[in-house]
Amino acid sequence: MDLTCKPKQRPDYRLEQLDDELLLYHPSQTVIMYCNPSASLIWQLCDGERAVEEIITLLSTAYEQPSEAIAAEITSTLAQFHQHRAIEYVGQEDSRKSG
Amino acid sequence: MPTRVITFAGSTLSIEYQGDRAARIVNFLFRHISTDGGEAAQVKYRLLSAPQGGTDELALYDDENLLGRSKDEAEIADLLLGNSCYKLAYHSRGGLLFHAGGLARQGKGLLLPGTMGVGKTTLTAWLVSRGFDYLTDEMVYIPHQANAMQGLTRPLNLKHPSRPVVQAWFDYETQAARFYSAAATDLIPPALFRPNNQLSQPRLRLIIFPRYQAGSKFSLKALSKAQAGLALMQCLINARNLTDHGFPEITRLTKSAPAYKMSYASFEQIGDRIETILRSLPLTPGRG
Repeated sequence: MDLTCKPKQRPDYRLEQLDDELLLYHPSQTVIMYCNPSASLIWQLCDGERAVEEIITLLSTAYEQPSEAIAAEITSTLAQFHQHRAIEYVGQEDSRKSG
Repeated sequence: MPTRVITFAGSTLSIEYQGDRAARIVNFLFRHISTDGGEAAQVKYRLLSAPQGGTDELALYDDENLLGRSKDEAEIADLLLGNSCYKLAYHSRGGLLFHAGGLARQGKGLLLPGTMGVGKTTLTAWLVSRGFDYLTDEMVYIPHQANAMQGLTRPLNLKHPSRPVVQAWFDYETQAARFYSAAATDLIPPALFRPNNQLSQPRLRLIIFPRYQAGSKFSLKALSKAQAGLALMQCLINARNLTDHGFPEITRLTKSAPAYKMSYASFEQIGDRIETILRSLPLTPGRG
């Protein structure tokens, strides 16, 4: 994955926050995604402004964990978001290849 | 010709019937289901008797289409029940319709959602034999912005492979004349499991996703609200008829009742755990 790309939430997903978890739902595609607390946090950081590497730095600092371990979870979660078309990468034509 | 109109979950069906055997089937299947037909029937059945080789043959029609014919009342009852449940679900709107068992205990509603084959009906029958009131073994409807559980109160539809388990508390031999036995299933009125069964529309207070797995260890795991929401969406039958496929209503429900996932291999493993959880919950959410 290109760590300089910037993930952004797609606006056509409905979002329901339930405690510290999320359900993301796409009405026309009838896709529903469950996000555990970590995935929920990653989703909330997908604002189209932060690059993937910035998200990794932010969360590894916040949780005081090695960035390698955090990076693996973040890239895996982003790949799932992208596979379900829940995010897009700002400035890339088709970044699904990199997901 | 006599006609029975039944309404459930925003759907209305009518059944015209002719002859004593047809009347017996209709009364057996639908005696507990509301007849308050406010709307025109979306589907019209006809159940007719015709002399054939010394015995009345029964023929079932859906509008003008012949669905099946048989001399065996049980087979026609099974066919009519399966088809009418499908049609009720197909036209259902105005609330969430779940593929689920439904029970009540001391005014508290228990929802047992699950897809086909997870053991909902057998578990429902066992709980009824333990003093729960039967609502349904198949479909529970919860109207929009409400928490009242409305069950499709039909005879329990127990598959023949469950007989060795059910016979521990139900005597198939002595009750044989009081239920229908079709090729693959037995249709057993709830009163045979619990003579003083009370019909009600209790508030949803507990959700348990059951899964029978032969030889498995018992497991009862609390689900988060989001996990429960995801699992409930997978048991929602009428999503295509609902605004946003019922998603906002599902998330509302998950906030009103705790949910668990339960795996079991025998009812001895379950014991009184469900009663214990229900007892700990207040009658209405947010109180007690």
